[in-house]
Amino acid sequence: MREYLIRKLILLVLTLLSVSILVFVLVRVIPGDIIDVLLGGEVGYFPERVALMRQELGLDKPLHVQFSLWIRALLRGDFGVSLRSGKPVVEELLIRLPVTAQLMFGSILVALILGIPLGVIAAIKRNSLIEKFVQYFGLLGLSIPEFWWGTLLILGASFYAPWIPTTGYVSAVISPIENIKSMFLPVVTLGLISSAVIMRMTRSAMLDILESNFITVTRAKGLSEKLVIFRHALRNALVPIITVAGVQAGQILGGAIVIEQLFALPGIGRFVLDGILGRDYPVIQIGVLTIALAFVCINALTDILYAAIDPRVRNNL
Amino acid sequence: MKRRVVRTISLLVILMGLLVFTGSAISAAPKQGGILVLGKIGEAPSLDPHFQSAAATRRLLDLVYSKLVFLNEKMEPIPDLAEAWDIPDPQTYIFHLRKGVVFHNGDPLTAEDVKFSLERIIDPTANSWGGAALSVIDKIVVLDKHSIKITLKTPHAGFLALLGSDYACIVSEKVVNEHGHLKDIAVGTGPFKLVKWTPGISTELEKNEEYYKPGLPYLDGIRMQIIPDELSMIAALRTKRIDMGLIQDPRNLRLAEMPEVNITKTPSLNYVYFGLNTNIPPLDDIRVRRAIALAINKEEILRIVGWNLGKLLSPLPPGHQKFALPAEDMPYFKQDLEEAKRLMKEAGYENGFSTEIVSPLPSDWPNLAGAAMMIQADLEKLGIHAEIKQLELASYLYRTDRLKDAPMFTQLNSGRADPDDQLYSVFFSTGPLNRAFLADEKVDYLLNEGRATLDPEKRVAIYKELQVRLAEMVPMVWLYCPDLIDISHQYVKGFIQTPMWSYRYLEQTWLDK
Repeated sequence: MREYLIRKLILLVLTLLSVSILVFVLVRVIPGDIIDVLLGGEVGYFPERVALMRQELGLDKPLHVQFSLWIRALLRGDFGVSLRSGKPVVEELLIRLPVTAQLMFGSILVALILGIPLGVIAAIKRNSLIEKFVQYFGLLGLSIPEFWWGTLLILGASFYAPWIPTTGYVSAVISPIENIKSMFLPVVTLGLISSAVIMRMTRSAMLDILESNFITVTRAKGLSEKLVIFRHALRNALVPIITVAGVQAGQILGGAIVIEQLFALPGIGRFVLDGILGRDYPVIQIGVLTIALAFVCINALTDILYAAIDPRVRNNL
Repeated sequence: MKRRVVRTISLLVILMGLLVFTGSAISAAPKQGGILVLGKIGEAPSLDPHFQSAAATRRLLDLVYSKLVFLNEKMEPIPDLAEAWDIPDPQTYIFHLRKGVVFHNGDPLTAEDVKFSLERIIDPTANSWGGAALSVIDKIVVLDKHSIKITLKTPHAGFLALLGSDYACIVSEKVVNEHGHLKDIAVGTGPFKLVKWTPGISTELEKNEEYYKPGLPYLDGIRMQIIPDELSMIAALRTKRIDMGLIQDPRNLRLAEMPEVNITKTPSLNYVYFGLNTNIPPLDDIRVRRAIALAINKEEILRIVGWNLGKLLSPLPPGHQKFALPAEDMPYFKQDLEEAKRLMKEAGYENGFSTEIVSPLPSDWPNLAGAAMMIQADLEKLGIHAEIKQLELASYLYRTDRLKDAPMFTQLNSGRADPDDQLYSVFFSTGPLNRAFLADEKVDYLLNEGRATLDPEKRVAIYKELQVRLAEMVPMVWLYCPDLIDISHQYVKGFIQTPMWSYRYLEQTWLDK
């Protein structure tokens, strides 16, 4: 177990390092930089002004010098300041982190709460109306893009349920009730889509297991159907479900960019998007690093959950 | 005799009508109080008026800072912090400051603050975004506590308009010195004080009780709510989560059409244009450029891409009032394919040529991307095969503004209050926004004349001549000026939008509920 954790930790550091190098180089290779965004358009592009600004922002140094400066600062825990706002990026990130975390956990929770029971029922009651619904709903969830679904919910809510806020995030520190209200629609938007995927996975995993020999054995032993399904079948089906849930958590993190834009949530997605559009390098770097870290953590968590559920995995660690 | 009686009676009727009218006007006197919630697309990256040119910052600071003059809805510089000014000679301006003005922290405004603010902008090592425009200032001398003398390097007829521009905010010298910078602090003399700035969510403003205009503002405060998506903005207006907002993409306007919502369209001074790089052959041939101008149907572009929410323009938008010439009267304005083909033939391009149009992504600027597509179709009629290169914003600006290697491109220039400011940087041979690389002696001469001539009538004549010359030179094809579209609930009263896009008139806005 210990060896496993150490291995994971080394992998984590390596992943983050390569992600940071990749991001550092990529954002600088694409044409256009912060100076084009700040001075392009109406402000006017005076050569002396450009030179001055390059120097101010440290963009006049060669790429490898910039990189070593950045890494050295990083090791000191200094992530730099936003080129656009002049504020430390860590400060800006910390304001936004809770919003995205809440959105992600909320959506995954909704997805699991809806997806697993519906998937189980669909697997047990084959050829029923519920199974038809689950299959149909599942397909819908797989095909609907988040931005369209979110826009539809916003417009729908503004017409038929004006008491549901469609915009305006309220921090939980200020008012927990208002916070839940303001997160309701975004969480439902992402959660419903993910629940469809989890539901489909649950159904097919359950169907596989229910047809296997050991389930026949448990039934032959005379166990009640409830025990057969929950203790034996679902437990075995959980491994693929967790895999999918892990993938979905990542998907939600990606979908957060769109959803945060739509619902005006001050989260990491919007932060990185603004950073990319404005070529604000330190913002992109810390934002992508955070998202990469989240992915790595989700993967690690999935592995640990496997071990917790499945003794076979545990023994192999 | 009879006629006189009739006249007297009708006069009486008119008088009574007037009385009734004024009576009703009195009964609709502005109500005090209330918080207005304003939906805003972008977030202010930082708050320094002299160094942050983002629109979101400027629209917020409209309310917090004042300038020496204010550019009203007719684009006239009217007294603001300066209650009067003398111009003893074309290069000297003496401003008399309003007395008793205090900053939001209670400090009185003095001529020293004005000097400090303007010098902060023109400091060549400081890189302010207003530095280039205000570099016409030679010397600033404080005469006494409430008067200041500004000497210019050369006579500049548009100088007052420059002082009303977004960058020309008057800040407190003491606050800058004590705080070191203005990135996260805003202490001005404007109608509202900044009380809370929550990045990414909202900005809260509170009534300035010490505001120098008696009785104003009516509102107790304003909350600016950031809503990046326009559909969400409209949904929020529908559910009254915001009282007022704006629409930049006319495609969304239909959704805002509700009986309880006012849609105000204000002609802006911004304009969408099709740029031609006169350095790149065959666009160096004026006949080819003229043929291109003749091939493009501007009315159709305004109708389809601009949803008819805008105005056609000559080199000066109609918002420039007496200076602007009607677009229809300009040479090479009306679509004329026969003449265009003749010019192409004369230039030796009877069979056309292949080229490239650089445009932004539809998601960044739908109208610029759409205009590029319509122009592509129009040019095809002359045998010009233009490939459209859609680029993401920063890459697009990199091509059009830094490399300047795009033969053709669609762009938007933001409007300036004075014709000099509007045209000089775009068409002067060494101007920073001269993306066409136009170098015409007559244009340069007329631009300099327009800047140096203070006599209003002579100025109008100069700019009219200049516009015709520009239209003949075709450094660009002027497409249309999009309207500014404000959406607000019926109970929001008294707001006026200016062609320059300002929220300053929220000082006289009130809520009728």
